[in-house]
Amino acid sequence: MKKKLLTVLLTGTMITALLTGCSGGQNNSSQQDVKSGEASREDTAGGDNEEKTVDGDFVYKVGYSNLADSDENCYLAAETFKNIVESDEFKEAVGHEVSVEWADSDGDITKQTTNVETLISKGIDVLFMPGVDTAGNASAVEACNRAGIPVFMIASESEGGDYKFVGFNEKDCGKVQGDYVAENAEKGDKICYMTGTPGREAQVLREEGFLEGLESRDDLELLSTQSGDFKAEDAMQVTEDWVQAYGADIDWIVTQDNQMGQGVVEVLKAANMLDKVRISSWVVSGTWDAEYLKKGEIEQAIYVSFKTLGETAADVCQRFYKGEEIEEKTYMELQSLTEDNYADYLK
Amino acid sequence: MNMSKKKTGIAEIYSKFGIFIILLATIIISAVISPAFLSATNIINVIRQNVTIGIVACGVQLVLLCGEVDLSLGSVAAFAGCFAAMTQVATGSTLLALLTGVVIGGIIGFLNGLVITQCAIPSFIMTLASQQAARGAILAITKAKPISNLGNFSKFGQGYLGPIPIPILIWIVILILTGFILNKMRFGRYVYAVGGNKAAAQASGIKVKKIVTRCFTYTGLLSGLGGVVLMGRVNSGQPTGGEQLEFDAITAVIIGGTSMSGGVGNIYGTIAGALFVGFLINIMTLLNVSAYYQQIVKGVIIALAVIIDVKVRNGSKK
Repeated sequence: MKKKLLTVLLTGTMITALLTGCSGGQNNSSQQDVKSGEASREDTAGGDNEEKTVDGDFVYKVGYSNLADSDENCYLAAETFKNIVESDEFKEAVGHEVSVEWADSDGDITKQTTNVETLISKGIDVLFMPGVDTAGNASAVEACNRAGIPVFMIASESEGGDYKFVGFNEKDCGKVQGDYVAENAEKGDKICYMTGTPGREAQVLREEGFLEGLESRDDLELLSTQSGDFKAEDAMQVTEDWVQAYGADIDWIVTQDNQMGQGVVEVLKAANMLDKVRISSWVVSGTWDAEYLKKGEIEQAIYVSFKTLGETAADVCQRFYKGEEIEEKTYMELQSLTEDNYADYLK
Repeated sequence: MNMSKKKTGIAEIYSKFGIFIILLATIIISAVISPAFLSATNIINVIRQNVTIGIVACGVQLVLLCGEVDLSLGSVAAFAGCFAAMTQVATGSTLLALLTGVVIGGIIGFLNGLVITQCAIPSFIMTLASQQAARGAILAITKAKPISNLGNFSKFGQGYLGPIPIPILIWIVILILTGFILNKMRFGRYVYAVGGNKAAAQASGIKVKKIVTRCFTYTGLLSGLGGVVLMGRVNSGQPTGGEQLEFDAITAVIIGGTSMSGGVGNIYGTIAGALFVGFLINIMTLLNVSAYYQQIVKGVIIALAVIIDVKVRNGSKK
């Protein structure tokens, strides 16, 4: 008797669960289909020109799959993007409230792929994604394509799928540094080059660009290339070792980001070598890292404002919701800063 | 049978003296292949570069000797170090900043120990949870931005007392303290007893939970101190600082002959273990070996150290 009762209860529970599940699915799809009303947008990435509109109460959902919240620069870009997109001004411009679904990938491509799948299931209209890895991001982009969700890759590309690009050219960043050294180095100068995390797209492309920039000078010697892992503490260790290995032979140290530039300055300062070694680095936050440039401790820096990156992405997002045509690649401007011109760009 | 005994014997000898022989061999070989290696400045550099790992390793050694593990060290160091940096900026007091860092680290360590012992949660899980929570909290508090303008705070990582760098002096003090705790205090003997056999220790009247909690608290205190030294060294509060610190510290302790299953190990081995990894990375950088290969070498060494540890334990059981 007990067994029978249990079977009936279980069967009832399963049927209820099934029906609830089906009805939930209908609700979701109907929510996505309901999009009728005032505003309209064009599906840009997929090349699909289907008009999609929303009613008065509908809230637009933008997916933002961040590379790593622990990265100061990525966080700044994401925060800037979110603040603008969720602002009243933005709401007025596009005619509806917009919410940003922000997911942190923690620098892990597997996590980013999973996050994107979750964002798709949350019913986002469009995805903005600073990708962890060019090859690895293809599956996330393709998943969005299959779901009919346009994708904008931020400051990184994808090897597969349809998407549009917003950001800066990694290779160009390296090339601007290489060009600067090639134009300003003395005959026979010796260079130490500090890369970021081995295997990361930014590390590979920036290095390629840097070496390309140096090609015009046969007399320059690349003494050593080592990884500072995009961290000040690791950069200090590498620089101390360089000072030991090459000492006064070092004429230039070039770093692939601002944190490592900070580490290099600290070590050279302690070794009384700041006057002797010329540094090419990055300014990203425009605050603490700009101080090194202002003091003349860093001779030249690429200025990549991640705040500007967030603003550029937000602008693209607004144009997307307004249904405007968006270019395949939207590049933000890169600046080569020195003691002479930094005041024009940094307050 | 005899062969097996002989092999175990070699492994046992390695576990007692091997790291010192390997360290010496590494120094000699490195000095031969790179003239820059044996300079006083380079040696001091390597020690200074590994001070944070060394300080934290002293703490985690106690936890490992208890037969537990602490994976939260790096995050706790970043959390406590950033709070110390914020205190420095807010008050201008270097001493208060130091105390803040150490006390915050100690509190987190105590909480780790308390939850592990009172709720009977595996230390691996609990410290993994606190690793995530501490890292997330400090990133949220700082919004992932470094804290700069630290003034005298940098002395903890960059300063000198006469010809000796202050961080090295701090490490020496911690080494002496840890050695004293392990070799001269009753608490140290209890730590070995708990790690050797928890049930037997309990039966003989040792308050196991209390000992384990104290070990985690000590690790937390030293993680906080390590965080202060680390942030002083980079002259800024880095919320992402100390990543992988727990693995580097545990590697140093294990390579130094401390058993992962507890009860076996000494402070001298930990010193040698920390320096060995440091010298190895240093010589590879001096020789311009690619970062990819450096990671391979580090991985192989950890694997070898654990294999030998397992071999010794299996041998001693027979």
